[in-house]
Amino acid sequence: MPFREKIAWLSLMAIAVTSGGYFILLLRAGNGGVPPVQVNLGLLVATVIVITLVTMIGAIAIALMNPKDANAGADERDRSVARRAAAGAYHVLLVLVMLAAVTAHLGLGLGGLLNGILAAIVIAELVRCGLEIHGYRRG
Amino acid sequence: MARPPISNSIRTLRFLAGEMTQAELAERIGVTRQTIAAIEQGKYAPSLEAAFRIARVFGKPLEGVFVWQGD
Repeated sequence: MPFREKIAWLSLMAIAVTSGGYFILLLRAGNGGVPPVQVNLGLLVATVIVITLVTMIGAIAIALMNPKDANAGADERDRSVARRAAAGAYHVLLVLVMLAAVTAHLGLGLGGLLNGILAAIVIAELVRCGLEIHGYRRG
Repeated sequence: MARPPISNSIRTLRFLAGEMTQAELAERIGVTRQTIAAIEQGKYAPSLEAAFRIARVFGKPLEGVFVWQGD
């Protein structure tokens, strides 16, 4: 498996698990699913720290197991896969951010808007990782 | 996306070049071993530059390595 595919799997898992935990905790802590923004910020900071740590430690572990692959730069296929994945994720992000903006008109308030945008970013990032993995699997 | 309509004889040429490994070929043309594997399997169509580099390694013209299989 290419080094960058392993990193994509790592990112996918780290983001899915920690962000999933964030949104579950958020809904449980919330008042009717709409928690105050302060609670969101505390959970958000914790989530970002966990994602960063898990991804960093995982990437270091993968690099130590494959030092040659880790030291090699991205080649034309890596760049092609990354470009296609980013393009696909961009469209997802665009649509979801627009949908999140709509929530502002549904009475969900600033917390709803912020969490909607956050969910859009998380989903777009998951799509990007998924498309990278698919790109490597396909060729 | 469908597979690129290009076949190649890299595996045979590697064999004829003293069983050159994918890693050796990858290093000589500046890509990863996985990219050579994907090209060999016909899953990835290399750039024109990479295709020329591969052909040069084996001392063949481009059409001696890659064959268009489409319509």
